[in-house]
Amino acid sequence: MKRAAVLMGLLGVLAVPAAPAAAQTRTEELLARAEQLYDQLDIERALPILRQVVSPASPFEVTPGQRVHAYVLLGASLVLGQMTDSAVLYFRAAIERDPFIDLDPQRFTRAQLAAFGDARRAAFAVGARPVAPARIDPRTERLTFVVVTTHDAALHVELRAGGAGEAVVLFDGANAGLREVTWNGLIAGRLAPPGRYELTIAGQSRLGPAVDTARVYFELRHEVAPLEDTLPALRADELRPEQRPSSAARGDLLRGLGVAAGALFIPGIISNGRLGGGGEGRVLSGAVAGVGLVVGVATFARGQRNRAIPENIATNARIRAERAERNAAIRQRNEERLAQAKLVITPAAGLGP
Amino acid sequence: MTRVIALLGVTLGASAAGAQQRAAAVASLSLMEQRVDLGGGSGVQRAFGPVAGVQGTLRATPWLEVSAGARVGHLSPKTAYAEARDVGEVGFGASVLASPSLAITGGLQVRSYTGTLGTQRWTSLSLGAEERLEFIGGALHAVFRGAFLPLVSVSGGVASPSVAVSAGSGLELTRGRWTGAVLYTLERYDFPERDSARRLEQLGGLTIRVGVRLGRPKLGS
Repeated sequence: MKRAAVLMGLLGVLAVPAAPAAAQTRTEELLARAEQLYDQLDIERALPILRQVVSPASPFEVTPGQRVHAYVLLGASLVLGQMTDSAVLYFRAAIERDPFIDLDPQRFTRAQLAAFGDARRAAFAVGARPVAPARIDPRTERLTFVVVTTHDAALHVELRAGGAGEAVVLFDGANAGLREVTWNGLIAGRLAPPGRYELTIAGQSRLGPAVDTARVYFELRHEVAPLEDTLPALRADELRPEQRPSSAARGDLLRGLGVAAGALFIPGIISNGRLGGGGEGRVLSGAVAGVGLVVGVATFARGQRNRAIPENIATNARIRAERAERNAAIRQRNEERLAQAKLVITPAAGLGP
Repeated sequence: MTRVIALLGVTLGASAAGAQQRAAAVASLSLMEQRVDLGGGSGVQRAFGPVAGVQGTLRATPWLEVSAGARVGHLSPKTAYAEARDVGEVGFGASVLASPSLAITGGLQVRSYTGTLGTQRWTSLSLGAEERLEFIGGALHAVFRGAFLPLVSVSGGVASPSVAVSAGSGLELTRGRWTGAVLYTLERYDFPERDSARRLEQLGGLTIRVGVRLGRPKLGS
């Protein structure tokens, strides 16, 4: 028998590095065998198997659930063996690892239930069930978190976006055992933004000084109709120049001088030299040249002083106002779509104490 | 015989930028100087005087404008042998916008000079261009124009001139429905030599115009 056990252990050691799943299966087999022996009240044979499972020296991989299961069977077996104090210790170990653990009154004796109750009062732990995948409409539905304290305690449950964002307190008060805490999907009155969230459960025992904290994480995203992009900022080429370039004033000066030159030179260039110059004709052309010169200089001076283009400034203001109005309408439509968004919840990786 | 001369004229070259309205009425007052050298050492005869006129323009299409007008005036002699004459002019013109600032102009004008010796009638056909350069704000324009007169007929057995050109330069101001302009224009006519004498003529002057646009503005024209 001992040789067979050693051989079995060696086989287990050899199997672990090669195939963890097989090792877990081996642990399951051990637990199944122990449970069978427990059901047959063969406690003497069940205990070594269970102790092997929970032993740190176990050659097999043991999941947290298998370990808790083994502690419960150990506790229950020890109660049947009249070793209640040891049973309470194993029940405590199970409870501290899984605060949600409970005994089925249909399956366990009153003595076992009593010992388990003692363990619950002695141990203190808080816990939260992993967040289940969900899709909720925040206008009509709520997301439910299941939390627990092993006994009477002050419980504080809060939700925080990104681990450092604004927190929402979901519960703060006395609690004993299981509690369902709901969340409406809002933070500070607004739809919770997409991202990673941390649910923190903190408890302080009312039976002793013990405190405990647990955290679970989940990802939240919005399921929303596609949003419209707002119009980009106006480019320079979409607006009219609001100031005239200094060359514009120089252009006016040149135009005025051009008129003056035209009036002065037309008689010299066009007329036949035999008809001579001077006379009233020279005065008339000089008068127009003078007007051209004065107007050119005056418009140049005015253009240098005042380069603003009021019509263009007004037009640009209108264009900007129209753009702002259209963007405001787009933002309004987007907000309406966001208000109708569904929240899609998925569990996220992360460990909390 | 009255010295009041009826001069009917036409101002060719409807404005390139043109009015927004379909029609415009213009009144003008010119101070004109005529110089004539009949050749053969006769010297230059100069006459000077005011000429008043009216003109109507109609924008037929966004790119075509037609005009008609008349001018009358009296030129007084300023040199020896020059004689006083009344001048009248009537004509029709058209301008086609080649670009927002450039118009191709053409026209037909009939001008008469009436003096003590009788009346001489000039009939001419012109073809030219007018450039209007806008100042800041668009209310003021510099106007430059030039034209060839390929067909000129002068009554009284005078041969057609071998050279006939005109040029002008000025400013035009627009204020609401009103327009105003000041222009200097000059026409040159060189006649072929005949009997060792060559006749030369030119008519130049300063014109002040005031116009009003008629009708409601046409958007987009």
